Amino acid sequence: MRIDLLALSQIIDKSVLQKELNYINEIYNFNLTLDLWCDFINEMKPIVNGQKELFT
Amino acid sequence: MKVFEANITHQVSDYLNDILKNVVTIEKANQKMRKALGFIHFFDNEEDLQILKETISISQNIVSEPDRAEYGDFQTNTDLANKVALHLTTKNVSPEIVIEPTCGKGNFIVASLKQFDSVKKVFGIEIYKPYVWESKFNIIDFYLNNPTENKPEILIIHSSVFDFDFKTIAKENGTKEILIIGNPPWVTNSKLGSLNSSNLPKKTNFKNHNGLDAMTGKGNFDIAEYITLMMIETFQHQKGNIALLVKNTVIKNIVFDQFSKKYHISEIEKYCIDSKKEFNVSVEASLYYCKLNSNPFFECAEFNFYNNSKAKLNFGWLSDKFVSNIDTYSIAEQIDGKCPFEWRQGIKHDCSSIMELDKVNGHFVNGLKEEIKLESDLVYGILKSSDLKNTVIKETRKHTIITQKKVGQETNYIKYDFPKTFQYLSEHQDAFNARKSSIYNNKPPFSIFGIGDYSFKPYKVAISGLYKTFHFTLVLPQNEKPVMLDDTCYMLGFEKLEFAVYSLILLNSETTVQFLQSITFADA
Repeated sequence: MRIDLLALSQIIDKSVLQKELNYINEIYNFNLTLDLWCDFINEMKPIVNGQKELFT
Repeated sequence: MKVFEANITHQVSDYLNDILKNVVTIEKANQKMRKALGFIHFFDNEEDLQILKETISISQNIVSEPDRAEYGDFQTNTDLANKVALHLTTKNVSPEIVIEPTCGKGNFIVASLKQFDSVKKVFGIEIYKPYVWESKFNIIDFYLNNPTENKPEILIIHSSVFDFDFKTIAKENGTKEILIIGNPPWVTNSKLGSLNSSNLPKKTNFKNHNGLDAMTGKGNFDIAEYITLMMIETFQHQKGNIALLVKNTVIKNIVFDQFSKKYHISEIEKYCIDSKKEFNVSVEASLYYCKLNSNPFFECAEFNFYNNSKAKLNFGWLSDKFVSNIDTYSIAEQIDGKCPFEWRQGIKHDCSSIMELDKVNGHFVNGLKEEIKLESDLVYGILKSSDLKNTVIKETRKHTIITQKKVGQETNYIKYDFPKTFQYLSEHQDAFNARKSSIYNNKPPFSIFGIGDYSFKPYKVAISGLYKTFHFTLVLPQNEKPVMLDDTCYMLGFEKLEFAVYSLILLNSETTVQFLQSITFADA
């Protein structure tokens, strides 16, 4: 699918993100936070980028 | 009244009676029809002349009409034909040559004669002989009611459009402005084939599909699309225009193909009509218009035919991307790329009566209404496209038996580890053997497809592949087991609930909806 989630994650308004998360937590009785957001972003980054960082 | 199974008014019948009164030879008859009304070869043979003269001298001749579905026959009503021709005059269309490649009863020819004073020659091609005559009679009727109208040369030719030599017309009239107008049949070649119709183009892989694509259905094409492309290819270097009523899918395909074909057409426009009102059919269709002999253009402006002052949107190629709304795409294009996670399709088993189970009063019941007993280990909840309505799903209507953890895995373990399940599956071996698809050939018994490690991820974000929806759903485990999806669904699988929810929020965001709206065609 053509949706670049990494690009999307970088343009989304964080307040909107938090608001949506709060809504889902309330309706579906979750207890989720944005604590893992950075891990999520890193998961999406290509391995090549990581290799470049290693050598810079 | 009918002659040659074609409707003829008394006015036309009386006229022909009069003009052919003392005429006995075909040469004389054709000479008279040409001099009076511009028809070339009004009669193809002596027999037609004799039959016509005899028939119109008798007051009544009633013959029932055969089934015209074979030919995708939906005659354009005169009102619509006139509106199309009138609309073309607002675009300064002023043809010397008019061609209607599948002219039917000639309504577009009559509309063209009415609107365009510049016409010097008309070609109507029609496979159904009664309509050839009805076209001629309708044209005569038009002239009798409008005696001062311009009378170009008119050729109504009894021929299949696939056999007719359009190239010669192009060659002989290279400097003249041409208009190709009409309503080619909205039927596919496979539909015609199933009706045993002989009116098919010669078998040709005209879209150059590879073998597998041709075998698996991409070889099924729309006849109107074929005819439209044939007209574009033949006349693209000639001054003129094309205006044809076709399905919206055809227009989308033509604009799509422009990227590779680079036909010399521009000002490509789509005027949406109300097919239900005009033809009493439920398919979306429009007037396709383009200008010939231009630098290739790769966009199409879309209008409402009945209120066409301003384009609703533009679709087509933006650089190397084919989009359904160029303006909306420009807003969301930054997210057009590759998803960092791999999208997967769900389970395929082609054996729903055996493999899809309902839970009734604590028992599993299969599609044959048999109550079955089997171990629960291989039974998983499964969702279909129609189930993906809500944002979060925690339980399923249906269950399925997952016989493998990856494609091609041996299934003999089931006999030893899950004997009841094995017994059930074995008792219905015939159903598995009856699966038509060749993908099951030489595979372990009870094989399934669309299965892998991803299928067993606990948290999934899924979307229907069948319905025109842009809403993504979070699928949670059921009874601590991952839920499966069928092959009509697409999904991402996650180990962490947070990742699944973050993805869900991103995918259901307004930016994503705008993006998806700008790359999908709702009507085609």
